Amino acid sequence: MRRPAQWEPSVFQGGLPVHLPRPLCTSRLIQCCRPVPNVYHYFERACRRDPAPRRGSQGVKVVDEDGNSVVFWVETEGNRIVGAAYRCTTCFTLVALCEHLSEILGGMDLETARRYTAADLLGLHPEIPPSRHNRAELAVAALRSALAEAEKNNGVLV
Amino acid sequence: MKVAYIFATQGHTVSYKLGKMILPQLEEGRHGAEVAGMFFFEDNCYALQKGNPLGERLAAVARQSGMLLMCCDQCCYERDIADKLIDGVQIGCFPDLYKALSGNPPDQVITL
Repeated sequence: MRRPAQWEPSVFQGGLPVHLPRPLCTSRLIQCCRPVPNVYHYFERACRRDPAPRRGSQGVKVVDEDGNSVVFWVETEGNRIVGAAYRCTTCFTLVALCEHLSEILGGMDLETARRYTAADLLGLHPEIPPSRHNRAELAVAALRSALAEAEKNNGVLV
Repeated sequence: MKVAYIFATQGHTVSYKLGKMILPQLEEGRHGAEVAGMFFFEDNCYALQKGNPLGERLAAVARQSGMLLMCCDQCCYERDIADKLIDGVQIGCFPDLYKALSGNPPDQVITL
């Protein structure tokens, strides 16, 4: 499913989208006032926000053949994830996907998190070309490792 | 001699230096050096979008010669064209560029 036409680069300030007031929108910009965040948004956000606290269960570092790596932390309360953090190498796509995945995890129950796949994550980012799809697999593998560790630490069946 | 080009500056980098000099020479087989690859930064990536006449000509040369064509991934995502590039054109960062060129390393890297 293709996402709608997105924002004009000219409405960016400091790398973050600035939405024009409705009366100022031209015909093309009307659709852009609620842009769907894409890989660029998530990378920018990852670079600009304060680091998330790394609490909870830490998974193992998952490394791919290109030398990219990811570690995930998940913090749980009962059967629910209340926080997620990650550390990864600086591949643009990988950072963006880890950032988005950590956002999605907030509030998710553990069973749903365990069933979350790379295809689910890539489905949110049709702009990622096939040559970069392995980044999603790397991120999800790191997440699953952290979930398995949470199971061990909390005695929760994941 | 093998060279690789990095198109890093804006202005007439692509439209003039590539489009009016390098590409016609490559098409005519008189460039004077074998081109192992080309890497595009920032707005220069627009030249490799599907349907761009210059990009399509360049891709045809690349298919024939095995020349690498790669665009900066960050630049393409920012411009929302990462999935709109001509078939065979890759996106990547420096590690990807070095890896892709490692099998056919250039003697000189020329930044334009």
